[in-house]
This record gives sequence, C-alpha cells and structure tokens, in this order.
Amino acid sequence: MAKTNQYCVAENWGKGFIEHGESSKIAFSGLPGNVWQVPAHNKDANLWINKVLGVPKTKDEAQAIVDVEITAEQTAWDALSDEEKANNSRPADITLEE
Amino acid sequence: MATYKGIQGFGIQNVAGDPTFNEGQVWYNSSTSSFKLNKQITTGAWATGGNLNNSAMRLGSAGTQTAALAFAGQEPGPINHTETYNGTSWSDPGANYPASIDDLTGSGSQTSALGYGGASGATATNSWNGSSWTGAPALNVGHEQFAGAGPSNTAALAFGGNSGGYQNACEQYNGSWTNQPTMNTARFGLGGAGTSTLAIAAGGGYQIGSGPGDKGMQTELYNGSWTTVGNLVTPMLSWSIAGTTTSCVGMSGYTVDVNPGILTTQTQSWNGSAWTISPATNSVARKYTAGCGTSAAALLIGGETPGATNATEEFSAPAFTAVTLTTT
Amino acid sequence: MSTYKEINGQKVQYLASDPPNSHAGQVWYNSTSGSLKFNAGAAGSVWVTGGNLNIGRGDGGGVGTATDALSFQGQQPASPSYANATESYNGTSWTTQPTTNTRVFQLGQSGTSTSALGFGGYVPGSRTTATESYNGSSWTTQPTMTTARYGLGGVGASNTEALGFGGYTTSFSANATESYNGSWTNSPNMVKGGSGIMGTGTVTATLSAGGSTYPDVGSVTASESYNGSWTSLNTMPTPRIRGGMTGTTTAAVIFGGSSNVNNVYDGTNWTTSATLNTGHPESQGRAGSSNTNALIFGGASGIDTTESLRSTGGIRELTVS
Repeated sequence: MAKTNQYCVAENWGKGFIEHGESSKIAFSGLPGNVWQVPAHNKDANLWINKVLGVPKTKDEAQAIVDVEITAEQTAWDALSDEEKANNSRPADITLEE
Repeated sequence: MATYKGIQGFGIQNVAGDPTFNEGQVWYNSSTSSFKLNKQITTGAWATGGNLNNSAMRLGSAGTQTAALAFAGQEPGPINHTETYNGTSWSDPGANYPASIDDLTGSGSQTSALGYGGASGATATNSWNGSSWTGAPALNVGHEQFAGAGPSNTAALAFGGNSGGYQNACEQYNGSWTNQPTMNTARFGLGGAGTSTLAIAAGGGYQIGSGPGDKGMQTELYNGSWTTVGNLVTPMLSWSIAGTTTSCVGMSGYTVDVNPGILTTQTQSWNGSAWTISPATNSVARKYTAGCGTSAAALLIGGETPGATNATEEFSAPAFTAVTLTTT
Repeated sequence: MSTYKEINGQKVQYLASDPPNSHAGQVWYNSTSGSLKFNAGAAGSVWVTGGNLNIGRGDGGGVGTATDALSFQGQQPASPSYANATESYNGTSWTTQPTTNTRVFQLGQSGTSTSALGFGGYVPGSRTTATESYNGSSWTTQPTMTTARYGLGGVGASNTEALGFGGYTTSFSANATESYNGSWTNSPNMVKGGSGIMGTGTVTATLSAGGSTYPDVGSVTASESYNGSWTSLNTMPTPRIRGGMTGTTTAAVIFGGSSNVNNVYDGTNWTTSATLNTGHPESQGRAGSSNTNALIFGGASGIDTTESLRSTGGIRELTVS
C-alpha cells in the first residue's frame, strides 16, 4: 500500500521555514527531534524538503529519533514534584504512521 | 443590479509582477511568463515566524502579528523573560517581567500592555509601557490558567481560571480591577480575546484524567455580562484565540475530543455566530501557548509540544491571493 | 613459537631514505632527514573527540586546519537563532573572537583562521548576498555576491579570494558559481550543483560533492570538479548534505552532516572510510588542510562537540618529548 506520509529532519530556523503558500498546500506536522511529517508522493512537500535542506528519513528512522526525545521528556516529567505533575500531563508516546 | 465589472469585465494587462488587482481579475505576468488570477482565499494559512529567544509555555502575550510582546511563563520552572517581536524575529528589550511566574495572562499592545495573575492564585498586575514594567493594582482574586483581553495597559478584562477550583470570576481593569458579572460556565485553560468591554471566551474547563464530555466546548460573549453562544466544533483546552467577538481564530491546543486528549494542529474560526473548522492547520501542535493579533493576522507563541518550545507561527487569512493559471 | 626477531630483535639500520618494504614495528634512522622513523602498521584513520565550542552552532562557516581553525556564525537554538559568534581552535580548545557584523547561517567560506571570508547564507526570512572578511582581529563588510543563496559551498586560500558555488536560489536552481578577488563576478555554472553542498580545494582546482537538488532531495551522491569550468565525477557511495569536506581534487575526505559514515576520494573513486564518534547533523562548517587533516564541529540543536581526523599507521617519525 502506498505511503501516506514521509519524514525528514531539519531544524526549524523560524521565519521563512514554512511559508503561507506552502502551508496552504501541505499538511505539516512538527515532531520532537527536528522531525517533520509531510505528505508522501507530493511535489509540494518534496519542494519544501529541498528548500529547508531537509534530510529524508524512513518512518522507522524518524520513529527512533522521536522516541529518544519523548523518553527524555517523560523522564523529566517523572522527576517532577507531585504538585508539578498535577499541573502537567505526562508526555504521551507518539507513534508515526507510514 | 449588474456592476460595471460584471458587464464590461477587466482588461488583461501585461505587467512585470503581481500588483494588487480586483478579485477575479486576470493579468499576464511578464516576469514569470504566466497568466495569473486574483482568487479569493478566505481559509487562511500558517507560516513559521521567528523563534523565541527563550522557549516558554504558560506565558503571557500582547500585541499584533508584527508587533508582539511575550513574557514570563515556564520552561520548566517559572521564568521572567520579556521579548518583543517585529514580524520577523524576537528581541530582548532589556526588561524582565517583575516576577518569575507561569499561568498568567497578558493583553494590550507591544508598547502598552498588562500582565496579570498567575500560578498559586497570584493577583499581581504589572503594566508595560514599551520599555519597562511597573506594578499596578492587583486583581481582586487570584486567577491562574485563565484568559484576558484588552487594548492597552489601562483597560483589560480577566476571566475564568483555576484558582481554588474552576472559576467563573470576571474582573475589569481601568486603572484598578472591579468585579464583573460572572461567566456562565466556570472553566480554566480557556481562550480569550477582544477588548475590556467586548470579549469572547472559548473552550477550557476540562479536568485532566476524566473522560471527554461537554466540557471544553462552551463559548461565551461579554458586553457587560456574559451570554453563552454556539459551541466549538472540537472541544479545546489550554489554547489561544485571537480576534474579536465577531471574528476570531482559535489556534492549536489540547483537544479532549478523544480520551486521553491529544495535541492538535487544528484551527477553528468564529464568525460571530458559529465556529467552523478551518482547512488550515499549523505545523507544531502545542498547548499552554500565548496568542495575539486578529483573526486575519494572528500569532501563536511558544507552548508545550511536549517540552517548552520556542516556535512561533503566524496565521494569516488574506482575502485574495494571486494564483498561476495553467492549461490542463 | 617465538620468532627470530622476537628473540634477537631487529637492528636499527642507518639509511639515506625510507626502506621500500619495511614491516610493522621496524625502526630505522633516516640520515637525509636526520630522524628516527618506524613503520606503524597499515595506514588508516580515526576520529578523535576534541574541545567543545563555547556556543553550540550548526551550518556556520569554517576555515583553517584541524589545529588552527576558525568557526563563525551558524544556526543556534536561541538568542537569536542566527549567530554572529566567532571562535578559534588551537587543536585543544575554542576561544571566543570578535563577532561578525551580520547574523547568518548556511553560508560559504574561504581562507584561514586569520584571513577568512564568509559569504551568502540565510538571514531571517531570506537568503543573502552579504560578504564579510576577517583579518584575525575584526570583521569588515565587503562587496556583496551576485546571487543570493544559502547552503552554498566555498573554497579559497585567504580573505581576498574565493569561489562560491551551488546553494539554494530557487526550487530548481542550485548551480550558480561566482568568484571573488575583492568583488564578485559570475563564473560557469555547475553541472548539477546542490544546496547543503560541500567543497574543498582551491579556487582553480575545486572539488564539490553532495548537496540536495530537486527532485533528488537528500539523496545526492554527485561530485564535480572545477578548473575554470565544472566536470562531473564518479558518485559517492554515501549521499550527504550539510557536512564537511577537506583535501584536494585528488585526495579528499567528506564527513558528517546527514551521515556519520564518511567517504574518501582518491582522484577517481569514492569509497567508505572511518565513521564519526557522534552525530553532527547540519554541520556545514569545517576546517582541515588535507584528506588526513580535518575538523568537524557543532551541528543542529546546539551541538557543541568537535572531532578531528587522525591518521594511524604508515611511516612515522619518533620524536623526543
């Protein structure tokens, strides 16, 4: 079955990283670890990856990067005081889709 | 009645660029060798803005998409940074918020703003004049994880929160705070926008750990007292909205449409009588954000993604945009 | 069973030149160079961790050698994300130097630690033509490039000469080339080009490799050489963008960026070589004087670590400590 999503790694440099015209054509999802999820088999998405000099990753590679970041956040949450925990929800695992 | 443009139409001009034309007008762009059409786009779109110098969640903000102010918050642990945005990048104006505090609210403009309330039932109010913060009369009751609205450092409205339980308390500032009629639904983590006399409150109120229900859906309008109006399409918590009682945009947040709730990149739009889901989605799903601006030019600042983020995103709803015509 | 050489040892010969067929462990005196030399075994290379940057940055400018390097500008996590920091490296630690005039990242560079040039790159919201030179004590604005681009490659021996090539100008164009000798002039386009491209060599004998071009996003293995015009070379086994490369058109090493698996070039073919100890994604800045003298530093999200390439084995000299 054809992939729906593709992934790349690129650090968000801020202004100009994602422009209005790109956002209106592409569904972006920024994930921990500088991982970005965009539509697969999509010319506009590919053009954007080229623009930001993104490094394409397989879903499994991207998942490994995200898992490292989420685990670190969960570890940090586990170390919070009870009062702080009551005020913050524990970061949930993120499962990437193909 | 038929219009001139409906009868006569517009001539197709040959120009070296994309000037501002009427809706529906076609021209030839000689620089790109293409025919262009000025097409109506009302759904809006997101773009990344300059990253904050300091990542922050549960922070306060004020201003517009091109002249914004962000201050205090958590990262984790309370912080007191103040930053100003010029539409491209954030700068340090050289003046910290008087306290390191999170879950506060801000309103006003980049050069005339108020910061008020915060964690642990804080009532402190601080006034910003464009270069420094000074203390101002305190809120009557503490508010945390609440909403606010207002045009300057002399006029504001504070409403809702979670200080000693869900709050429906509302206070108005015009040099000092005076109690106002309470909201119809007590809630925290709500979004708020408008002025000190005309404000909108949307979402909020969800107790983490409980299942989804009708919480997080309510919308109320204030014009001296509160009136409940149409529900959100998607229940939202810990999010930011920007605009007025007749045109507002709700940005990202923590949706409790599913159990457990999740962060979303959804955008909801209010047209004065009903909410709709915008086709536009932002790129970094987050809660505990700050937001400011208008429904046509809004700014979403910081938040938790998980972990505090320095990401800033700009929502713009241009009425028209030039598109290239191609042959099929 | 013990060997003769293990029991009796091997005499240290007095020779006018290095013996052609020495074996590992053999020691001799070279009377021409007046030095005691030995065969250290099969030639190889390994990356060794060095001192950390004071400010972790990625995709900044990098010039010099592995023991005398300069790092400038780049992208950092905050305060603000476009850096103007300058730091010098002595092989052990980094020292802060005067800041640049502009804040930019993904720029091109040429020169040495005391005579450097930074050009092009990305400033908030747009690519730039900005050019600055460093004389060892301060940065000075210079004439701007012809074509604004970021993720370009750059080579040159000093702050008065440079070749800037590749880099992102539009979606489908990343092959522009220009030369600097006090001001910029256009030069022949690259065959393919790329953004996040790497380069090394001189302004008259340049090697370029990798980079991203549409639609071969992130999977570019192309390599080219320049001697007044560009020519395609054999491809690399490992695709790479936003890394570093040092050496010449006949002996180069390319490293870091999108892959920790490095490649070496022998003038004809690219092959796989020693890997980095840790990741340095988005580390376009680099220093090094040859294919065995290289330095990589920084990377995405504020990475501040440094690694240098150390050759092992081969014929070496025994020195007095």
